[in-house]
Amino acid sequence: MKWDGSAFETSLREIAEFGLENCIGANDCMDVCPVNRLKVNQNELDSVMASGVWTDRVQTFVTECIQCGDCTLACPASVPRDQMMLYLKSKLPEIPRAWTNYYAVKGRRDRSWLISLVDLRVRRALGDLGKHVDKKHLAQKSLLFYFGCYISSPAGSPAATLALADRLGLDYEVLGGVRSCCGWPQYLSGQMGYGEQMLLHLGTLIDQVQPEVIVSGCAECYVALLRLKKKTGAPWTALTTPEWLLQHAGELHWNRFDYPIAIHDSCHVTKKIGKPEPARELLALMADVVEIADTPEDCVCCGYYNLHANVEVNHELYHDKLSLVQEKGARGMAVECVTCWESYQEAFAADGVPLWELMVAAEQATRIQPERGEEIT
Amino acid sequence: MSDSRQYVIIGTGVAGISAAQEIRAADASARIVLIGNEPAPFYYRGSLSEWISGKNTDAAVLGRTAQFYTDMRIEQVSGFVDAVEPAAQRVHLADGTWLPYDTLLIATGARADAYPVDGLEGSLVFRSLADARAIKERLGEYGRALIIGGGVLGLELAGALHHMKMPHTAIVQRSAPLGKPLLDADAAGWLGDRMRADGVDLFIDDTVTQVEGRTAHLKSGQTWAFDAVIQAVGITPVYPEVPGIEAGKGIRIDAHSRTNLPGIYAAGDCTETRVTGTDRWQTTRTWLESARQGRAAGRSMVGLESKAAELPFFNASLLYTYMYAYIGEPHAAGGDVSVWQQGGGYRKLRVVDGRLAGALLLGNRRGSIAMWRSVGHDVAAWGESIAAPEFDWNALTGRDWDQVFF
Repeated sequence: MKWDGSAFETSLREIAEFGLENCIGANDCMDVCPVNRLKVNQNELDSVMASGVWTDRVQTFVTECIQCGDCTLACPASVPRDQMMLYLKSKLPEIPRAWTNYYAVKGRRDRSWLISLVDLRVRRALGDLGKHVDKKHLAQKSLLFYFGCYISSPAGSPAATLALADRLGLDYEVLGGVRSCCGWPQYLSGQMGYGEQMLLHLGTLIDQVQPEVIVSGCAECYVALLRLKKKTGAPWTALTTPEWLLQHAGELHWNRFDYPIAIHDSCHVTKKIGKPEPARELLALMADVVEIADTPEDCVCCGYYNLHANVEVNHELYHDKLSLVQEKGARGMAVECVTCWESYQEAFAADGVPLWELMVAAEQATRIQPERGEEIT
Repeated sequence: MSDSRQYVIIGTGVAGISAAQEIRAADASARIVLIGNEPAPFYYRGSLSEWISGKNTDAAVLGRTAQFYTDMRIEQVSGFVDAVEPAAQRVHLADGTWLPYDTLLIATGARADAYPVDGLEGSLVFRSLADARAIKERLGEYGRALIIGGGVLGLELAGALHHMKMPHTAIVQRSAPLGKPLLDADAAGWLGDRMRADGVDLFIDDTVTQVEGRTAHLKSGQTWAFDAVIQAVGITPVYPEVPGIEAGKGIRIDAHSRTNLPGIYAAGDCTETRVTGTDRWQTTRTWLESARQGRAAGRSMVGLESKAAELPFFNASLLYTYMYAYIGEPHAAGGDVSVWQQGGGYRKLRVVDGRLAGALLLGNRRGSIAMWRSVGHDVAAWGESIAAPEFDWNALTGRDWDQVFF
């Protein structure tokens, strides 16, 4: 897919040029990077940016960048290194090999037959939820749950979210499946034009629903929705799942977990959007909240992108997080983003430490409603 | 482009390297010669404090990899240029050799100033990699550092010493406020309180009048024992002798980085530029300005449109241990000022006739780049809320300066 020469490219290039001009070489960006396993220095990146001549080290590093934004927060000179990395991703000489399987399916309308096969399997596996997978007809509703590809996530959060919505008696539509991919995986692997195409296609699906509010439990989908809104001037409002559920918190009775739970911040929601509170407020309704970083912005990324691309990159991150949670006296950890859950679940399960996606936790915490006097299944 | 065109750049700092990059991007066949008189090629002055504190490695201080110079076919010449002969289009190196040029860029930077102090000969300054090495050696592991100069450099150095857990640091600043000219009295008070709480001794409106052994006597009558005195009191442009070139404190250049002499360009700390709409000239003050001038010079030298967009002043780095951004003119007289203070953050914004005129952000810099690009925009409708970190500057400009993606 060719780069489309859009204003996005212009903005990226301008901001990258500013970064190159204003970099003072503190190297703090690289020191804080959670996936800099090769110990790349910023001068290697700047040399590639300035010369256009790639090295293997830089290509690997750019491929593995997860856009968490730690680098930009750490820079003393206000250099938006994460944006520079996005620019370098757009110039990657080749699509990272680890992503080719992903591309084979997700959002590829020219491989519709393959998607149909995948959808068939997913629908069977998901039971009642399966009816929403890449469905052809979308009804007009004011509330839209957007699950995209994570409708089939093992986290179980889409089913939990809908169970909560049903418990609240809400009327809604659901958009999920690989045909409604938000495009973020494509952006991350440098296929910017492809990502833009996916995002705009998502916009046409949303237009069929004409929602007032769109709710997503995936931080990447959420920022993609923000981008879509900005690009198209759409009238709807995008909410994270904790933001949405907090609006209805008073309508539910909350039972509490009998152990303290640590909170893990999503990079996109906390560091980039600046909304660390909703997840905390929601978790506080059902458990004692344990902070695992000095500030929410200091929370180390889950490294989710490499969950798909380079599993081995993340092992250290998973186990560091697990140790931190235990060290801080928590007996479980909650995440607000489904991809964070997917990243950590194997390591946490192996150690027997509960890992809660917040919608799944909320669904469990509100199962027993006093007025009904019994557990809702 | 002729394949024999020879571009000579004197100076390996950010202005010189930025020009070289532009030249190579536009002219694949050009011969680019970069002359430097420092032991290392292009390095980041702005990170020397982090190098002193041990946080940064030798390799990371270098601005470009060795491979970069090969890939870009930039010839590096080590030497000191003491004269230029514009008529003959050649430069003279101190070792006696001559080097011809078709187009020349002078980007020779500046030298650190030092106040004369009785009894203090050969005090350290903080400017180059060699200076940084000397400071590190003199201080050792637990040294007492007396910093003369409480401006940006002095505060940056104090921050590095704090990171090194040096227990004894003092700053002597000739005139208030601390951090001048970046800080006004209010912001200086905010920073000073935090530095004192960290154990830094601050002597403001004071000077070192005399040194006896390793004891400094101050004008205020106080004394302070030290292991090293480091002067960080400003810089003076340096450049080779060039007959006929127009200069004040620095070589005078226009927005294209052209000097008054054909074929000769200048950029960076060795230059001065006209203050827009006035007859006044001011020396180049920041890394970013130097880089932008270097890029403009490179484009001019290959005959491309080169006038850089006129942007308000912007600088961002560390003041002591706090990140700051200085945008436009936050401290000038007149206008309405909004201040936001919370935890480790101080944000002052100045609005004139309803339009953003400048900002000083300390500790919390959220939105700084978009805010920079918003100088001159009408912000009257938002009142004091613009000082808060969550204000959406991207929306105001209709551009994506802080987050391109969303």
